[in-house]
Amino acid sequence: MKGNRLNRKLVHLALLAAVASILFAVEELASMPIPFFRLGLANAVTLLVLIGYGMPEALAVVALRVLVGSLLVGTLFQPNFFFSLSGGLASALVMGGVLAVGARWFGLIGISILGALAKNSVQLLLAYVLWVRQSRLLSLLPLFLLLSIVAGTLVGLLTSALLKKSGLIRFFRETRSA
Amino acid sequence: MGYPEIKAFRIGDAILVLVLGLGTAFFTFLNFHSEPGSEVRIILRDQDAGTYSLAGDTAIAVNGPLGKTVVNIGGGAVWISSAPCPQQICVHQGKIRLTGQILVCVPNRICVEIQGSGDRDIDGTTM
Repeated sequence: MKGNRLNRKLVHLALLAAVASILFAVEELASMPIPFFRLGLANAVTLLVLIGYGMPEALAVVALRVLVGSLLVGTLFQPNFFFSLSGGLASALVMGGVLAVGARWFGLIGISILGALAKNSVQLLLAYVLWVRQSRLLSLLPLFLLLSIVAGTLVGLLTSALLKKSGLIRFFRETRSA
Repeated sequence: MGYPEIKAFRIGDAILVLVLGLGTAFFTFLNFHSEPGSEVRIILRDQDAGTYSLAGDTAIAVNGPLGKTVVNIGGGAVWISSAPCPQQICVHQGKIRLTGQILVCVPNRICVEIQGSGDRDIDGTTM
């Protein structure tokens, strides 16, 4: 019984990681209208894993997603890879934290906005520390704030739709209480 | 289990969006003077690589770690027309013409910024 449940979890997480990898790869390839701008659709998967399983699982799925996704696109271990990895992990940590303490006040939209904000801040900080030590780089901050709102709202709505439509909530409940 | 019921939208989200919106407006106001600039400053590897007038028509080749990035000035605007970086984000950034706006090529470590004529130069100090 116990082994069975573990198998189920592994398969489920692997599937979610696969979906996240594809979303990630597609977004890497699609040239977005505004430079730096990514919707972060794969973040919806992170949020689902956080809700269904928890922080360690979510971090693992993020790491897998960036690894497999970068492998698909051909950016493995290039600067972009480290940006995506640190951004994804930061986003998962923040969203998990808010989910644990602030789910009473924040909905999925707010949580994913905070996640997008964490991702953008970490990446901007990384660019600043590693490459362009110019205070002018920080003048991109308002743009990043605005993009976080837009991307976070869309991802939040997507996550909510996925949870409702796919019956994942019920599935997660069964998994947790089984 | 541990979480309260998960909803798509709660009151905190509205407050968050409001605060972030105000923050965006504030920082935008702070950063961009929204005036056409007068000078173009090129920064390579954290160091000043020359200041040019925004009035003329020139192409400047800057040699970064990856190779040659071409910065163009013309019609009161600045843009990067070619760069050796894989993603070409700086090229896709297009033309900028206002004080405070920047073009950044992270892989080639080049930063191009527009300055006003009477710009206080405190921001130009390298770290």
